[in-house]
Amino acid sequence: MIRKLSEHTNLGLLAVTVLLFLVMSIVYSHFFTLYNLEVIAMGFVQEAIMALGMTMVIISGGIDLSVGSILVFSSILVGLFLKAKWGIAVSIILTLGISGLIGFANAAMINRLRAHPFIVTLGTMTAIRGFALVLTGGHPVTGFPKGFFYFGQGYLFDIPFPVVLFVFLAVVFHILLRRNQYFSQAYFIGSNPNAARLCGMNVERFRWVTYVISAILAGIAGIITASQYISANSSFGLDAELRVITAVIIGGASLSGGVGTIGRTVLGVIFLAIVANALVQAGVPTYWEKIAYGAMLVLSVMLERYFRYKRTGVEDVWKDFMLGGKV
Amino acid sequence: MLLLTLFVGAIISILTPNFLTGSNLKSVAMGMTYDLIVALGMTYVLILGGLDLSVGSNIALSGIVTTLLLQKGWVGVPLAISIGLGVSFITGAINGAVIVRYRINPFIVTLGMMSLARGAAMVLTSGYFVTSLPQSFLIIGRGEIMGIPFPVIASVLISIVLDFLLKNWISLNRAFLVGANPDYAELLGINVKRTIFLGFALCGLFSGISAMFMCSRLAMGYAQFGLEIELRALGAAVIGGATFSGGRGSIWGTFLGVLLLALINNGFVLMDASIYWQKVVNGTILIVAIATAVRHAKRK
Repeated sequence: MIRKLSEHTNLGLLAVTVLLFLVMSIVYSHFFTLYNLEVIAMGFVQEAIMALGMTMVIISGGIDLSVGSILVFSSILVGLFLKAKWGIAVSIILTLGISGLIGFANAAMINRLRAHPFIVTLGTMTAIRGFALVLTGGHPVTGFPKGFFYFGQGYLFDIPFPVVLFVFLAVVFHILLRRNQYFSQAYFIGSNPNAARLCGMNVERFRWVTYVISAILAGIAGIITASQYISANSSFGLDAELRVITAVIIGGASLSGGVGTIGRTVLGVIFLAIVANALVQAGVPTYWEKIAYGAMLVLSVMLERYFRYKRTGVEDVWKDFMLGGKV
Repeated sequence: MLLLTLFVGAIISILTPNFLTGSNLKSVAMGMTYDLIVALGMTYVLILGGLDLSVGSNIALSGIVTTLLLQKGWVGVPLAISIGLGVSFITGAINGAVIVRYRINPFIVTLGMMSLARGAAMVLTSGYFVTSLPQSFLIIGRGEIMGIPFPVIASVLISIVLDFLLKNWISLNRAFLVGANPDYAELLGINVKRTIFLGFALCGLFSGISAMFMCSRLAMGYAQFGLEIELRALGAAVIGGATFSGGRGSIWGTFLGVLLLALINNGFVLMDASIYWQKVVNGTILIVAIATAVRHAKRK
C-alpha cells in the first residue's frame, strides 16, 4: 500500500506538508478557517497553473525562466486590449495567442541555436519584462469592464474560479502525461534525447509543444492576475519563475529530466502555498521571503540529488550537469 | 571584434555630437568599470564550463556589509573592505561548494543564491540607502591620477594581470582543460572539484571588488545595486568569445565585449531613449550574443 502510494506521490514531502498544516492550525487559531484556506489557494494559484506547464518542460529536460515575465506581459496586454474596447473574448484569445508565440520563440531559439534553455529563456525573461515596462511606461493599466472580473474573482460551485480552473487543468495534464501516447514521450526525451531521436521521436517539435503550453499557461495566469487586482502592473510576477521551479523540484521532478509527475507537482505547489501563507501569518517581514524562496530552491535540489545518489549510488559525470550537457 | 567595436564607436560619435567629449568618455569608462571587473570573473567561470547568476546580488550584499560597518563606525576602512570582500568570496565559495559537492547545475544554484543574497541585502537595510560614509572610503572610487579615476586604472590593471596569469600560471591555465573536458582532466590528475570550487569563489571575489568601487564612487550602499549586471557580464563574455559549454574565452575578448556594450548603452543614453528600453536591450544582447557565438562555432 505504502509502496503503491509512493509511486504517485512524494511521501516525505506529504508528511512535512501535513505536519506544517497541523502545527499552523494549532498555533494560529484563524489558520484553519474557510476564509484562510481560500486565501492560501488564491495566493498561489497563478504559480500553481504555471507549475503544470513547467512540469512538462522539466520532465522533457528543459527549463523555462520566462514564465514570470510572460505573466506580467500578458496581464498588461489583456489590459491594453480591454481598454481599447476589443471585447473580453477577443482580448483573451489574442493575449493567449501572443503568449504562445513567445513560447514558440523560446523553443525555436533553443532548437536553432542549440543553446541551453536556461540561457535562452533568461534572455527572453529580461527582454519581455522590458517590453512590459516599455508598453506601460511603468504606469498601471486600469479600466476593465465588469464582466472581466469573473476570471480572477468569480466563484463556480462556491469555489473561486481560478482554483476550479487549476484543478481542471491539473487533471487534464495528469491524464495527458500518463495516458496520452504523444505526451508521455516527455519521459523518454527527457532522460535521453539522443536515444529518443534515434527511435524516431521528433524532439525538436516536442520542445515547441511543451514551451508553447508553458507560455500559454503563464498567459492564463497573467489574465487571472489582471482580473484579480483590477489592474495590470509591470511589477507582477517578480521572481515567479523561482517559486514555480521550486514547487516542481520540491515535488520530486529532476532537473536532469525524465522524472516527475503532475501529482507530485501539485503536492509541491500545496506545500509552497502553505509556506507562503505561514510566512505571512507568522508576521515575517516581506524581505525575508526572497531569502526563503532562494534557500528552498537550492535545498530542494540538494535533497533530490542526495536521495538519488543514495538510491542509485551513481554520481553524475561532469558533462551531465555542467552546461556542456545534453540539449 | 576590435573592428566591430571601433565601428560602433564611430557610428555613435557621428550620430551624437556629445559623444567625443572628455566628460562623456570618462563616464563611459566609469560605467564600464563595474561591468568589466564582474565580467572578468564571469569569463573565468564560463571557461570552467559554469556560469554565475548571483554576481549582481553579491555586489549588493558585500557592498552593504562594508558600508553598514563603516556607517556604524565599528571598524576602520581597511578592515571594512576586507570583510566586504570576504563576504563576496564566501558567497561565491558557497556556490562552488554546493555545485561540486551535490553536482547540481550551476544555473540553479546561482539562481537560488541570486535571490538569497539580494534578500539578505534587503533584510540588512530594509530597503534604505546606507549613507554618511567616511571620506577616506570615498577616495577609492573618486580619486584620480592625471584625470583618470582610480577604478578605471584598477580595472585595467586587474585585466592585464589576469590575462597574463591565465595564459602563464598553471593553476589558472588548467581551467581551459577542465572546462573543455572535465572527465579527461580528472584522468590527467587535475583536481577538478577544487578548480571549479575556487573558480566560483574567485568570481564572487571579483563582484566584491566591483562592489567596493561602486559604493565608494556613489557614496552609498543600496540593496538594488548591480541589478542585471549578470546579463551584461554574460553577454560581454560571450560576445568576446567565451562559450557556455566551457573551455573557451579570453580576457581581451571580454574587455572588448564590455566596451561594446558600454558604447551601445551610452549611445542609448545620448539619444534620449527611455530607460525602460535598456531592459529590452540587455535581454536582446544576450540572445544575439549566443546566436553569433553559435554561428562562429559552426564556421570553425
